[in-house]
Amino acid sequence: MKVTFPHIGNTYIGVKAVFDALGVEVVVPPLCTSRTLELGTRYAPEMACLPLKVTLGNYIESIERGADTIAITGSCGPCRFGYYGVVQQEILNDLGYDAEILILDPPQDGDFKPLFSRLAKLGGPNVTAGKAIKAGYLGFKIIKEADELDRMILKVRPREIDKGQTDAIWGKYRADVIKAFGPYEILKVIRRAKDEVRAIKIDKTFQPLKIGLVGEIYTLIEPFVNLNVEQKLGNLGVEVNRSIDLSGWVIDNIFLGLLGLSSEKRIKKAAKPYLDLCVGGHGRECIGNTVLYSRKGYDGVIQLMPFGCMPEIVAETILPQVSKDENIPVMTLILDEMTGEAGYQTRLEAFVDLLKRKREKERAKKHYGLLLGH
Amino acid sequence: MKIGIAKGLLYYIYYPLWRTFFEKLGCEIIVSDDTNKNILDRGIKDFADDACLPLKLFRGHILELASKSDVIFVPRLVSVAKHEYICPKFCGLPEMIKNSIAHLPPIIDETLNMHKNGSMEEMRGFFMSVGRHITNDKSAISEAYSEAVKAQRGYDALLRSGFLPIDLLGDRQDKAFREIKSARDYSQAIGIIGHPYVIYDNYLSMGLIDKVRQAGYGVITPENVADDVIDEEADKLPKHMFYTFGKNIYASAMHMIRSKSVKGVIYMSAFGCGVDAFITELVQRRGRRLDNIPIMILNIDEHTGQAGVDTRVEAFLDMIKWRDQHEGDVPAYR
Repeated sequence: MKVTFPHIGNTYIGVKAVFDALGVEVVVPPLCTSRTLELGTRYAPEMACLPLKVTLGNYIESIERGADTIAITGSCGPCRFGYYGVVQQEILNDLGYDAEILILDPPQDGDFKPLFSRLAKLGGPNVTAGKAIKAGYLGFKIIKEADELDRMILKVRPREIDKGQTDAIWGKYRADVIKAFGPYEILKVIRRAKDEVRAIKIDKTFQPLKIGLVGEIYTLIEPFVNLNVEQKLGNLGVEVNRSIDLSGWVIDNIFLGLLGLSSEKRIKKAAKPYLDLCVGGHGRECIGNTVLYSRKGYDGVIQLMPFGCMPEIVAETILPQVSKDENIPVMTLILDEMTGEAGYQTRLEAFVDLLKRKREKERAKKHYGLLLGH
Repeated sequence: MKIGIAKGLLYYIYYPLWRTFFEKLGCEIIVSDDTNKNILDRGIKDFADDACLPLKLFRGHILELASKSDVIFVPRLVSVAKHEYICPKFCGLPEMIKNSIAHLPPIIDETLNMHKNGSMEEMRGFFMSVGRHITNDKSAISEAYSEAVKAQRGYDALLRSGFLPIDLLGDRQDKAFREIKSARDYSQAIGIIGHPYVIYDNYLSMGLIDKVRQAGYGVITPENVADDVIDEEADKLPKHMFYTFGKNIYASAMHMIRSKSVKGVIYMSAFGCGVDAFITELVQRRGRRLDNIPIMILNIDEHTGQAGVDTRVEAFLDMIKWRDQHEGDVPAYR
């Protein structure tokens, strides 16, 4: 059995480590390229959301490299993600591939049996529960460190003195980490990159604009799909904060979620006046985080979503009101296979210009206000 | 009190329930006009471009009602069956309406969520809280609810016996009762599937049902298929389909194809409908593996031209006729 899985942000680094540690043969899909997207859009339903198309492309590229089992997580609605596996399996069957998609659904009504039997199938006969827990812990640790590296980069990039240094380190790290074998080697690569980022000379007096990213999780954390939005904004001199990352999601939904201590409570509370229930995906978190960014003094918020994303459309229609009430500019960027990079860059630049003007105006007002005795 | 009910979304499924309930409580019911270009245009203006067509249209109907009614009924229908949802947009419907329309009269936005166990107690609780917007008399609300459920059961029974919502709602009912005998006599039928708010809205569907009937075919829709048949077909999917209407559409299509009760299937889907994006795929792929009954997907949006749709429907029906005459129902190639 050769297992593969879809790309989403840093997942591949941690998941590869888990399978390596368990001795399960794993095919890491090649990093997403335009070929991945093209394969996906050719065979997926036209109106399906973008993640379905890109991940379908991942599967096909992995199958070409010998994978025969595809492991994905699932859900039971209301977001369409819960039905990805079924639709993608139909498409693969019709294309003549005999790979099987294993959907790891969260247990419903406390019935853990289907989940455990699928996990056992994935691990094979040699994997014990103890081994699996240890490997899972290492995988989680790796994703956590990889996310930390991402956050460091977001802070350093707008402040670096020699422009382009961060991008060079990031590019090299991405190439190295996919080649590393086993959790310890992977951790070494991540830590080396961290040290290199720490060594970059930064302008400590520079006060960058701050933009919060909210929206649908896949478009937020997969750089290929969001056309490297963090890199683009960082190089425009903006400090970016991403409201969701993978390790945060794991902590909230798996560890703290079970104990009822999830930090999502704060986000839910902030979203309450606008949307007081779950609409699937990260619709409610999108609203709540926008409110929180405004209160933390951010200059603006960008909502990212794939075209046709059902929960995010709910958020999109509510955001203009939030923007008005909280006095924070919000821009929605909808991503699909047609998104052109130049148009996207222009919109980002225009938004950043707008925020700069707003900040200058507000500062001037403050000064004049003092002068005139207001 | 004048209660506004929009002629959109689940109006076609639950109107008898809602109407009876509010009428028994002594309310006057204002239903928005049949969909027209003006209503659709108003719904689209200043709203998210990528929202689905039925949602934009629903907003248009609410704008229509805003000046005419004291209160507007915009229920939050999260789930109407165990472990199923309708669609994420239904969960956030009242918020989407409130935050996109200024100067809206008060709305009744109580939540119906039967996701946990699908029990009718949830439904009763929902109506009890809806009723409290009108009166404090609990027994009156309870009585109105029982009457409403009765009316809805009668309506559902008529649907299962072969009538369609467009026959029963509005002023066509008498005509439909007179003609249903002949409608049953159609020797051939076409399956028309899709979300109820698309196929039964004469403006959106461009009179698809009437067109097919005029061509001499009976029409079968998901609302005509019995619940146990739906469940049986849906259970054949590898994973529980968690969209109620998606499940109905998929399962009824499979049933029509398997039982060969239709000559062809027309699936009318709305632009931007996330559920349709998946269900069209499943219906086409699994339906074609099952049998060679022709399936046509018609995707409509606010720009769709009537002539183009007419041409495609006519061509589809002609093709079915030719197939009968020249190929003995066996395609020449496989």
